[in-house]
Amino acid sequence: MHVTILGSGTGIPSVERCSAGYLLETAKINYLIDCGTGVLRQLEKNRTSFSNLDAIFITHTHSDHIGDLTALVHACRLPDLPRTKPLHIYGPGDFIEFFTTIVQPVAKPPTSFPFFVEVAPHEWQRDGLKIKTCNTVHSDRMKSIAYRFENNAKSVVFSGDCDVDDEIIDLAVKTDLFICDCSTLAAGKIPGHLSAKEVGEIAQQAQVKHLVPSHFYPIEGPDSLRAEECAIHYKGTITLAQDFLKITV
Amino acid sequence: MAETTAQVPSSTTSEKQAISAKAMERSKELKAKRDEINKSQENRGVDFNRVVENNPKTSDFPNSTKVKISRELSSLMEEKNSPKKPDYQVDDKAVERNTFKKPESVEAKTESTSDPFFQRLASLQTEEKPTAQDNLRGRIQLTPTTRNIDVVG
Ligand SMILES: [Zn+2]
Ligand SMILES: [Zn+2]
Repeated sequence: MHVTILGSGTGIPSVERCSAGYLLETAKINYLIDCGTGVLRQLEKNRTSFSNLDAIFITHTHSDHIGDLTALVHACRLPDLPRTKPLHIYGPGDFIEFFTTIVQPVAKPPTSFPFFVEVAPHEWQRDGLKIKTCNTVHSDRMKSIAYRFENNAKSVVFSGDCDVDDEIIDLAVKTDLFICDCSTLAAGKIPGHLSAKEVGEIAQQAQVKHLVPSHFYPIEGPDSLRAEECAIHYKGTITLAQDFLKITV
Repeated sequence: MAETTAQVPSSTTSEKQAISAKAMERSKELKAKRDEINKSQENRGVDFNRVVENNPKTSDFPNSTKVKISRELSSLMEEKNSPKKPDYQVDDKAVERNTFKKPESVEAKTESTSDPFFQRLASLQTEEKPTAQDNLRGRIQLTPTTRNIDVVG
């Protein structure tokens, strides 16, 4: 599996970091995990057009994770779009309500190819991959989930936005790649998000093989401070997220 | 990649207790609040093909743009069929540069009182309450009334 970080940022507009978005590719599929503001253009820059996506996996409906979703659905109605394969969009338990009340009035779903909006099950299989989800602790206004993708005995976990919780540790257990909310340092901890210290503790406890802290709020000082704080608690490999960083597992 | 250690030692009991009781407590409170709200919402699945099947296919785009868009799309698809060439400078060294180079022994150095950098790391590890300086460094500037996780996601 190949992961391309399309957006390592948050809802705070930034030149360096696009809002949340990750591309997961195998020889067969193109999956998009989250679709924050700017991600659609990042996809085009990466030459992986929205029209080639097989499925989109939304962690929760904060704008930095769904900001470009209406734009993407709108683009799917382009006349003569050379696409016949279905597009599935998965999200947390309140996602259907979100889609029908927020997205659909602005962007009508496409009719020229099969299009599905679904609540992500706890566990299912598609395209030969096993996909698991867990609830995360993030917001009291909406549901939020994390995703684990398994293919050929390798796995990648995307935490979405989350706080300390047993469920994310269980989902991330022994994963080959853990892309994790690392919003701040411990000193600037924001409830509902993980600090670098907590990311390190969770990754160590879950015995993650490769940790990629992402979802960076601006901090005072270089981002390398995050890796340093994680490394106090986590003994494995840490690679800080950056837009267009590519990692293969 | 400079460092490819895939071996992670299994966590010890003390490490399992490392996530502070306070953090877990706070997490439980958030979780309870969230679950209360979630109770009212049920999971549903909708096949939008059925919902929108009568909508005209191209109604969102003016007819005058149709030809131009089609032409651009076909050139886009030609690109798709050729090997992928990202529209940005591919940075082959990005992973290596962003992978944390660990000091030879973090533990040994954190015990040293001579290096302010490792003193600071050690204090981050042990102090539950951040120092004024930590606050200045780590906290983003949001006014108290807007310092809410739902403001910025
Ligand atoms: Zn976010
Ligand atoms: Zn969020």
